[in-house]
Formats: sequence, C-alpha cells, structure tokens
Amino acid sequence: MSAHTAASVDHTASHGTYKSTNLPDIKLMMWVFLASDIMFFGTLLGTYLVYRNRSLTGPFPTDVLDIPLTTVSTFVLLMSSFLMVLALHSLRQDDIFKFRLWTFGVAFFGAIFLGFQIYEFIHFVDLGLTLQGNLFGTTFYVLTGTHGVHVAIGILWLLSIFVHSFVKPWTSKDEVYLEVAGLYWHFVDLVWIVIFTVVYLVEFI
Amino acid sequence: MAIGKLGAPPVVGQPPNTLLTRPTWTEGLFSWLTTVDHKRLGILYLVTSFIFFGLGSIEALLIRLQLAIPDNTLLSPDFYNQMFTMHGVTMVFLAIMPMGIGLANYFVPLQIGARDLAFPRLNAFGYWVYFVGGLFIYTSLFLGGAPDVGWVAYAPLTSLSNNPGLGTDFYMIGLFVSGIGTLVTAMNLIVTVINMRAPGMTMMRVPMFTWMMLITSFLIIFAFPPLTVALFQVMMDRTFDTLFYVPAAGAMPILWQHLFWIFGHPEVYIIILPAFGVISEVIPTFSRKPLFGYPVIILSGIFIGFMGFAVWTHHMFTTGLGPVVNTAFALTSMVIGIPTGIKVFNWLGTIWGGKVRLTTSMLYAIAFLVTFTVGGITGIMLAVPPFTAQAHDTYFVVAHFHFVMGGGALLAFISGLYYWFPKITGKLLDERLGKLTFWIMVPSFWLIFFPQHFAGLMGMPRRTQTFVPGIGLEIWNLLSTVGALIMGVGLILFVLNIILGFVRGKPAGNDPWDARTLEWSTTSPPPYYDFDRQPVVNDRDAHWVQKYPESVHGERVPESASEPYDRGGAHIPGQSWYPFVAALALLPFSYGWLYDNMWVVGISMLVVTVATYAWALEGVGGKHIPVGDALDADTERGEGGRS
Amino acid sequence: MAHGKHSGTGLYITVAIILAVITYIEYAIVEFPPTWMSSGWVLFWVILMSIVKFWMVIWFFMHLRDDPKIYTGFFSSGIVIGVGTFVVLIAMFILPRAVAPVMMDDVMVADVAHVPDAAALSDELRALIESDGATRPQAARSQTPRPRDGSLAVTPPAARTEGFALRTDEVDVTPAETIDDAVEAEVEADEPLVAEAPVVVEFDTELGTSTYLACAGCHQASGAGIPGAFPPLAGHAADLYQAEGGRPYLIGVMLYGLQGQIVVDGATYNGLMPAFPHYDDDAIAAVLNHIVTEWGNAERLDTFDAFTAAEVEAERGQGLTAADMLEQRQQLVFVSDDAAVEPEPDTATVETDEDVATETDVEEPDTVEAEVEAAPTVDPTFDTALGASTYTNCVGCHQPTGAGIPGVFPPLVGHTVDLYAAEGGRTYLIEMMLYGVQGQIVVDGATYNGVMPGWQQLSDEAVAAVINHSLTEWGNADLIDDFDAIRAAEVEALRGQGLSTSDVYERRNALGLD
Repeated sequence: MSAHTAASVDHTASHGTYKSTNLPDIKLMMWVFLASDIMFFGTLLGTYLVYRNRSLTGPFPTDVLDIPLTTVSTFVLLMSSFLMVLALHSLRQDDIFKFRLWTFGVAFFGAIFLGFQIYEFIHFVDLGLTLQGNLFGTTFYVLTGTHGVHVAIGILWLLSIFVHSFVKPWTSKDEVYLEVAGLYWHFVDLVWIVIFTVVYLVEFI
Repeated sequence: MAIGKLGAPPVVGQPPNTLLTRPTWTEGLFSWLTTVDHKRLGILYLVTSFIFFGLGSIEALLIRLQLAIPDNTLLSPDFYNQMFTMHGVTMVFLAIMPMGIGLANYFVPLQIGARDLAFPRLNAFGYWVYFVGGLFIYTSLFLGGAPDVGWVAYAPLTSLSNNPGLGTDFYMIGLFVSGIGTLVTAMNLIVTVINMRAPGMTMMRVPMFTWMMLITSFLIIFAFPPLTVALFQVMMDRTFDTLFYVPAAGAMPILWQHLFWIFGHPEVYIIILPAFGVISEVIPTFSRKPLFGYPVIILSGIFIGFMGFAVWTHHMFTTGLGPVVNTAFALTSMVIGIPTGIKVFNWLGTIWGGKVRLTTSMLYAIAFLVTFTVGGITGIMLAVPPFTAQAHDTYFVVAHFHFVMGGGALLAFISGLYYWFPKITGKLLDERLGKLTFWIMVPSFWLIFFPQHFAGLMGMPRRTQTFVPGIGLEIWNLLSTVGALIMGVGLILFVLNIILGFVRGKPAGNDPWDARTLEWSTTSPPPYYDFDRQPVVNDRDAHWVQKYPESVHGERVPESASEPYDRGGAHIPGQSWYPFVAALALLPFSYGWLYDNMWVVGISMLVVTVATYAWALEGVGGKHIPVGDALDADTERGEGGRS
Repeated sequence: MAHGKHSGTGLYITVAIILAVITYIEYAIVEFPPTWMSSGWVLFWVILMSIVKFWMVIWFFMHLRDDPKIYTGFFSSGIVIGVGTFVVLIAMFILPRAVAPVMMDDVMVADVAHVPDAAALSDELRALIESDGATRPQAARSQTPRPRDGSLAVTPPAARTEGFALRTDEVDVTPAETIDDAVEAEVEADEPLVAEAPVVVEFDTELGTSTYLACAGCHQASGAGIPGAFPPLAGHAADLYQAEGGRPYLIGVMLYGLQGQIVVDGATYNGLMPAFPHYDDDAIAAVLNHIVTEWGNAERLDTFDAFTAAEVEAERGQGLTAADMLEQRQQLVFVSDDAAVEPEPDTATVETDEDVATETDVEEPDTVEAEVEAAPTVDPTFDTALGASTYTNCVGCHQPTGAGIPGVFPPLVGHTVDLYAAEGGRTYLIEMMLYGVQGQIVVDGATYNGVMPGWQQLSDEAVAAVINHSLTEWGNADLIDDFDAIRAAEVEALRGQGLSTSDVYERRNALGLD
C-alpha cells in the first residue's frame, strides 16, 4: 500500500479533509467496484461454461451464432472505447466541444452495439432459441443480457454527462467524473472481449 | 441523550433544484432517517442487528424446545423447517455479520482519525438496504410461511415444483437485496481505510480492527457477487421458467452448491475476521501491552482472506467429487488452520507477561480464545474427508460451526460491546452484572453445544425435527435444551445491563480503559465532527503515545501548528433523503418480484433511478466547522460531555 | 481532428487500430481456418489474442500504465481470485468427463487387485467386497425418506444405542430378497441411516457410475436419451425392470444389443443399441443396477433386488441377436399398463411391503407404455450382403437412413461421396474407418461434434464392404461418376499406422473440402 507520511493535505479542495493518498475517492471506488464486478461476470460465465455442451435439445450454439455479425458489433464496442479515451483526453485539454462530441459518440456507438444485440436476440428467438428452451438459451441470454444491461446503464450515464455538460459547463477540473464513467465503459468492453471469445469464437474452432 | 447528536448544519451552497429539501433535523425520527453520520448509522446497525439477533435466538429456543425430548410434537415439521431456516438466515445474514459492520461503521473512521466514511450517503443507503432486506424476509412469517429450505437452500429443493410456496422467494429476493447493501458498505469501507487515514498513519500503523475490516471488506466484494448471481438464477428459474437448476434439461443442481459455497466459505471469514479485530483491540488494552506480532497478524489475516476462496468444496466432500478434488481441498482447508493458529498464539503472546485486568470485556475475550480454538480443532477434523463422510450433516457439524460462529464471533462482539459501550454512550456498563452475565452465558453456551458433538457422532442428523427414544440421544439433547434456556436468561440479563447502562450508567470519561487507539482520544460520546482537530499519528498505538510520549517508536510526525492539516476547517457532510428513499423503494420492488407483478417492479426501479439522479445532483452538501480553539467558541457544537 | 497534437492521442489511435486488427484476425482465423493449423492451435491463438486485447484495454485505455499501482493491485486481486475460482470450478465439471475412461480402468484393476482369486470367491463375498465402496454411504443416505408432511424428520439411527457398538438386530425392515442376509447385515451396520429407505439399493455404485460413462454418449448423463434415436433411461429403465420378464431382458440387451424401432412414452426411437458382451459380468450388473436406480428411478420401484454377476453370467452364451431382443421386448408385460387409463398408479400404496410405506414423492405417472412393431429398416438390397450387415454397426449413430444425428453424427448421404471425390479421400475413408476420427466438423454448413470410433477389429473385407455400402446406398451411387469399389487389399495396406483420432481429423482438414 502506498501510504506515506509524505502524503499531503488536499489544499485545493473546498474542504479541509485530509487524504492519506492523493487518489480521488470516487476513482478508487470505481476500481473496487470493477474488481467486484469481475466476480459477478465470472459467475455468469462460469455457469455458461459449466453448462456448455450440456443442452439436451437444440438449437445449439453453432446453429444460431453468427460470427461475422458479432465481429462487427464487437468492433463497434471497441471503437466506442476508443472514443471514450478521446473524450477524456479532450476534457483534460478543456476542449469542451470535442469532449461533448466524443461523449455523445460513445453513447451512440454503445446504442449501435445494443441495437445489434437486440436484433440478435430477436433473430435467435426466431431460430427457436428461447430463454426456456434449453440450457444454452438460458445461460446465453442471461449472460449476454446482463452485459447488455451494463451497456444500457453506461449509455444512460454518458448521456447524462452529455446533457449535464450543457446545464453546468464542465472543465478539466471535472475530469475525474468522466474518467470514472470511462473506466466503467472500458470494463463493459473488457467483458465483451471475453464473451466474444468464449461464447462465440470458441464454438466455431 | 447526546448519542449521535447532530449539530444544525447551515448548508453550504444549497443546490438550486432538488426534489426534496435538504433535511437538517438534528433530533427526532427524521434525523435518524436522513442521517449520514457514521456513528448514528453504526448505532442503527448495532440496534437492528441485535433485534434480529433476538429474533434468531427465539427461533433457536423453539428449535431446542422441540428437541428437548424424543417424539416431541411442540412444533409441526413444517414450522420446524421454517424455524431452523430462519434461524440460520437471521444469524448469518441479519445479525452477526451486520454486528461486525455496525462496529466498523462506528469505529473505523474514529480509529483512523477520519470524520466520516468516504461516501457518507452511500453508507446510509447500505444500512437502509440491509434493513429493508431483513424486514422483507421477516414479513414472510405473515405472508404464507417463511423459507423452509435451510439456510443453504440447495437446488433443486428450491425449484418451483419442489417448493411452490412463497418462502423460497422471500429467501432469494431478501438476500439478493440485503446483499446489495452489504456490497456497497464494504466498498465504502475499503475506500475509507485507503484514503482517509490521519497524517502519519501508514498502513502498518492502522489499528488491527480496522485492518481486519479492510480484509473483510475485500472478502465481501469478492464473495457476494457469486451469491447474488446464484440467487438471481434461482429466481429466474422460479419466475421465468429458465433452466439453471432443472435436471430434466441437463442442468446440474450441484452447481448451486458450488456457487453458494464459493460465497459461503468466505462468508465464514467475513463473520470471524471482524471478531479477530475486536479481540486484537481488547486484549492489548486489558493486558497493557502492544499487540504481539502485529505484522504477522495482518499477514495471516490476508492469507486467511485469500485462502478463504480456495477451500469451498470442503463443504461438499460427500457429493462425490472424487479423491483428487477432495484431497486437494482437504489440504487447503488444513493449511488455512495455520494462520488462524498463528493469531491465537499472538493473542496469547499479548496476554503473556501483561498486567491483565479481568474486566467483563476481557473475560469474554478469553472465553473467545478457548471456545474458538475448540471450534477450530473440530474444523480441522472436518477437513478430513473420510471423517466428514461420517460426520457430514450431523450435529457434530452443528456443534462445530456454533463454536466458531457463536463462541467465536458472538462472544467477540459482546466483548467489543462491553469495550466500546462507554465510547458510544459516555457511560459505563455495570461490571458486576456484566460478570454475572458472563458466568451465565459462557458455561451455558458450552452446555448447549458441547453435547451436540456427541449427539452428532452418534449419528443424529442436523435439521431433524424429532428423534425416537431409546437410541441414546435423549440426554445430549436435554442438556442442550437446558443450556439454551439458561443462555436465554443470560441474554436477557445482557440486554438489561445495556438498558441500565443507558439509563443510569456512571460517566465513563474519554478513556476509561487507558486504551491505545485513536477513538479514545476524543470525547465520549464523540461529537458529530469526531475530532476537535485532525489527529496526527506517530505510532501504531496512536492514543497511547499521545498519553505516554516517551513510548513512541521512530520519527515523530510534526503536528505542524503553523499550518494545521485541517486549516480549511472540517467538512461535515449534509443529511439526505435520497439514500433512504432509494433503499425504501426496494421494498415494493421485492414484493413486486415476489408476486410476479412487473409493473410494481418497474415503478420501483424508476423511483430508485430518480432518487439516484437526485442524489447525484444534490451534491455532498454539508458544512464547514472551525477546528481547534475556534471550535470552542462555536455555538453549533454538539453536547458531548467532556471529562 | 487534431491527432498528434498531444502525445497521448497518437498512442490511443495506434492501440485502437491494433485492437481492430486483432478482432479482424480473430474473425478470419475462426471463419477461414488455415489448413496447416490444427484446431488446437487456432484455439490457442484466439485465446492469446483475446488476452492481448484485454490487456491493451486495461493498460492503455483504462491507463493503468500511468496510474498509481494501487488500482492495478485492486483490479488484479479481482482477476486472480475470479479466474482462479472459476477455472477450478469449471475444471471440476469438465475434467472428470475427460479422464473417465482412465478412472474406469483403475476401478476394474483395483477390483481385481483386491480379489486375488476372484473366481474362487462366492458371489456373496464379492458383493460384500464391492458394496464397501467409498461412495456407498452417501448413496444410501440419499435414500433417507422424507415424511409425508415434507419435513426433514429423520429416521432414528438403527444402531449404536450404547457407545459405538454395532447393532444389527434393529434392522428390521430389510427387504426379504436382498442379496444375502449376511451381506445385508454387514452393510446395515456400516450405515445405519439406510434402515428405512424405501428401496434398499446395494451394489457397487462406483463401478456402475463409471461403466455408465460408456452409455452417456447416447443415453446422456441425465438419462434423458436423445429424441428419435436413443430412448430415455430415466423412468423407462425402472419400468422395464418392473415388467414381467424385464429382468432377463435388461441383461440380454446389454449382452446382445437391440435393434429396431421402439416406442417409449409415445415417442419413437430408432437408434441401435450395440451389444457389450466384452464387458465383464460385474460391470454389466453394476451398470444395470445404476440405470434402474438412478435419476429417481429408485423411487419408482416397489422393491429392488440388485442384479448380480452370476445372473449376468447365466444369460450369456445364448447366441441371441439384436433383432431377437426386439422380439423379446415386445413380449414384455409392463406393470404400469393400467397407468395408461389410471392417472395415479400409486405404487406406494398398492404394495404391502413396508419399504415403500414412507414414500411420498410419487412422480407424475408418465409410464404409459405402448410398443409398436417396427419393420426392419435396413433393406438388404445392396449386392454386397457383407456391407449391409456390417453397416448395422453404424446405424446407431449414422442412422439406417444415413442421415446422421444433427449436431453429433454427420450424414452419410451425399457426404461420403464428397469425401470419395476429394483428393486423398479414398485413403481418408479407409483410415477413418480403421482409426476413428474426433473433432468438430462441418458438413453442408452444419456442425457435428460426435466421436467416430475406430473399427480395426473388423476384417479388411468388412471395412471395404461397409465403405462401399455407404458410397452406394441412399442414392449416393447416382452421385458418383465412375465408381471404383474399395478393395480389401487397400484396407490391409493402411493398417498398422497407429493413427490417433485427432491425426485422422487433421487429415480430414487437409482434404480441402468446401
């Protein structure tokens, strides 16, 4: 742990609370939350893998999953992460226009990803894969659905920041609030990287 | 009554547009509903957990009365099942664990010289969610029957076809909700301990109770998500007919056991590590010696925390996992006994050669050492798979985990309450009544649970509603029941002592025990701003070296009078309605889910969302107060008596 | 856009491009696997690339690279505990299946090792030894009845009133015809809780479970079977056991197989049950006991009298065929025939046997049983009778129609012809027959993941004939321009290479099929 007597008083803050580390509370909080969220998705993914190849009836993964389509949506989500980095970078430079632009862009790309997922779900149901149909359906929908909910919350959060930046102009002093949203967004991206590999790609190898 | 007295906060920079006016009550019901003060929330946690503890004890008494004699018909089998399930759920989730969290809420900020947790409103949210979850589970008694599937709720017993009643839904949703509260509180504590320590308090100077709460909080954030997901899966099965635990669809109900124990074993340490922390405060104080082997206790605590995730299948030795898995987990389970043993020897080393004062608190701490060690040894026995094959699901196991949970965690927390009660109330508990209670409580505890070892070895299964005469179980069960009745008397005396302490306890002064850590440097009870001045820490036993400067080790951190650490004044966070509102909205959410009314669920979620937005836009709020000498002139000061 | 103005932006663009490229490569390598790369290596590279992506996002996008290490510490502790926990969890579920054959051998060797002069021992003694398996107490405990009110009230321990002396005289509810009184007493003394079990299940559960692994491929671990091909054993096995004549029939099916269309619970099944005469008597008895008592079957039984090795031995040597077994099946008289009209068979109350008196969880009576005579589906019009008769070994998986089973066994219709036409396909067909093939394959866009066993035990002539059969049946002959039948000499020439199933799989991938 990095506590030292050398750690200084937070003189710049509006209140005189002493900080033993110079780390923002909220950012530390986000990392702790993400560490916890690993176990959350770990359990869902673990359940999926334990039940992999155990469905008694179809449709089986290879019957419904569509690699080209999902590759595109994966690409969209990765690029939204990239825009997130740009948004934070712009805010740090006090380039408010680009900060707003990229923040909206992230939410927009996230919405596209979510659109892909909704399309995918509807398509899968047409193919006979339902939540109650077989174990693959149950575990797949709950795993990717939970991820989708995370994405949706992220979109809501980023749009809120976007709107709020008009209500109360943001400056580089507020960067930590965007950074925290960004960390969350990147984490959602990380989870998808794992899901894309373990759920989608592996089935076709 | 000055406990948790809030100064009237003139709110700085009132935000223009909030749904609910920022509350400023300093007393009365609303001041408690809207409080974000860690001390008030700590008291709420302690009171609530003791109420649940009382309910759990009543359930335990009913269980014991039913088993007093063979072929007893006092409780119907159905009701008996509900009682042992509720007893387990209550004690583990609603009583013992929140007791540790309550103590942490009150004393972690005080021990590290902070003025509150890092996220005061989140802390309030955590408490109210726990409260709502517990309340929800207990309403099941009036709404068609409590859960009756055991506190482990193994699938597929919990499936809709096997268990069509609402009891199981109460269990799943209630724990799901209260788990959220536990999670956010744990995250909050981690950030607090990392970020809010006083100047000079390096991690190797953090008091042991705070250290153990830090490790506990890490265990919580890693252990609760698997439980949350598993509960969610069962609820999906029950509500939306998914197939997570439907064997006919190829699912494996044993997965529930894995997920439950991936949570459940760390949960054991989530309960016992705070107890270790309490003991590590009590024993040095009453031995007038520094804690022996401080770094080793921390390291063994970290090791226990880490290994806690590597032993879960020792709860499942009899499920046919095969010799390889059983052997591996038997080894890890035995390894985890080593750091635990190290701690016991450290406490003994602290007592050794000390000027021991046998106060009630110290007596409980010593009783903890003995009782917990016995429970630990039966734990090592149960880590041997062939033995478990015989003892599994018998009263031997019941005796084992009551020795570590009751004899361990509970005795430690009672010790901690006797230790810290003067700090919380400014009044002393009656030592004579306390010692009388001790000599009733601890022997009766042994009378309850020691005979259960023998009943278990003779093959008496746990959760059995009754037993037949003539097979040698009568005497052990009767002894247990007699012990339970006596312990019931002891608990009543304990509560009486607490009430008497409140009403007419003698003034305690700031530091009645000549203790070692920072919480004793402020007044009893502490003012709402905790410390007049930002404390500066020069040693592991921060308060001790303030009192006895000659005992300081190493270089002193300058007090820096010319430029005090809190020269901008202390910041006191403002009260808020939103944590309470957001948590309360989870109650209709739970009932909506329970009765499959998705409209109610949706509206509740909407309320939670709106409250969250309002919460975020409301800002921290609160006020600045002057510090040090200037504080004396401040009329807003709380009334805490200083001696 | 003002890239490059700040040092950070350029790096982020580079990272984003690398991430995009990796994603594309992942897609490409999976969709169009290079012929020179085995699937194992594809998997390796895909996982490696994902880890690289994962790391790049954390390191650059979440800028752990520049931040204080405490964040990395928090996140890493989550990763370590999460990955560690769930890798172990998943391994516990997957590895036992992977090492199952090894474990079965171990069990058999151990049995022999413990009984040096096995043949000389009486069946009672053998049963006694086998019943002492490590998993038995637990199996017995699971039979502890749950009383009618649904409580968990538990039967009193039947032994040990004083200290730990073993008392067997209180075991008064032992079924009359269990293996042997002496064995029973010994067993009961071991495990008091078994005393009031509705049906006493005593046999080598470990051997039964391990032997069943060979059956799970078709009948599934859940005993649910595969619709249309392999009948369920859950429920059905118990009904067969209770049927008049069911006991010898069950042994016979194991020894001689079963072929022909059958109907279970109104559904039709047409797979082939191969014969297992090469299994020893103990294993057959154990696996029969296993299927009759697993999956809740034990609860359907009024009484259970375990199959013994001697019983199996007595049924051997009758020289029956799989078709004979179908006839024998049609003569079975099912106990639950009345169940077709009566909604509740209520087996618990019909019997006076006190063993079942405590049984409450009566399963839904889905035991309706109707047998439909099925015409033999393999039409022997093919000129090579040997080909047709050898193909009976294949119908279980590839079906009499050559259509295979979706997701598991590929069709032969059309497909063998493609293989034949491919360069090197002729050799591949023979090698595949001799050595088997394992790995996921794609035929006409559909994926199949079953295991094809090797058939080296067949004669050269039979191998050649069955390949020719598959190349000319079901209209396949029309798809081949100039058919040059496989010859026995070709088969002989390809023997002795010692190929593994995955070697053959690689050869298949090298064929360059579309």
